[in-house]
Amino acid sequence: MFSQKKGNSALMLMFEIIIVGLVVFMAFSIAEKFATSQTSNKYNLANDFGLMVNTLVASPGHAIVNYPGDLTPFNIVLKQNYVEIWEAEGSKSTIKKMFDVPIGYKLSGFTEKQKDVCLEKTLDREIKLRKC
Amino acid sequence: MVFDATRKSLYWMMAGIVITMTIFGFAMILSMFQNSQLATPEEFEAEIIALRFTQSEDCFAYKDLKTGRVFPSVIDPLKLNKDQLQRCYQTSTSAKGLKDFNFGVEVDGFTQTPLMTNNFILNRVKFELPKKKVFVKNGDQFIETQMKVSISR
Repeated sequence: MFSQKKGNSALMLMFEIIIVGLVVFMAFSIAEKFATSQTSNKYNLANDFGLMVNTLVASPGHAIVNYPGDLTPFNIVLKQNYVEIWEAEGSKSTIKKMFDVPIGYKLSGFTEKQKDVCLEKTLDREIKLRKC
Repeated sequence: MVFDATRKSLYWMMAGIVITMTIFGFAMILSMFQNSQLATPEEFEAEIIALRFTQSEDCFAYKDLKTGRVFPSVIDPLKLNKDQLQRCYQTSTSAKGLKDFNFGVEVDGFTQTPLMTNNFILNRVKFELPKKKVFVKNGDQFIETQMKVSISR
């Protein structure tokens, strides 16, 4: 009877250690997933491109903006009211940033794994996303 | 011994619930922290959008028809009306448009009531941008005045 109790205690102790180990492992997995994901980069990129479009709208005449930084890991599409960004390889989840442009503007463009990306505003009120 | 087994079962049931809630809470805290670090200050974003009012010929900026030159921060009084503002900036007509940046524009001495974009609500102004010094072209004269931009969202 006494050895049965000791046996149970040892078993319970092992079980508790396994549970604690599992919880710690899960916490580290979640933190690692957040730290290594490209979500932050995509979000910042989308915000930057949205602000760049608004700045180009406010710039009279012809203007070109070269985005500083290597955009090789990303695919970017520019549509009339939003810009959409996703990873070229890996997760296909997209981040969208909406914006509103004056009537008469045409926005378009797509880049895929390009290192240098430019936004160009022409005299005809076209904003194009392209390789620099 | 029966009570012992029941007590342990209850303990592990409650421990399981608490551990699950802790892990979810941890993931939520990380997500909230990430969002707070990535947020762009709304005053900054509103300022960038509002640049077009004084800089773009498609909004209020004066354009010399002979030379084609646009004069930033110089307002054409003929453009200072609601139709021009709607052509310059409007948000979605759905409920989403109300949560977007909506602007009310006043130019001291030249607008009697604020010019408002389509979803701007006067008694729901969230903040105002710093007043901007602008010039209004009146014939051959340039009259110095100020532009006030309010934001509702």
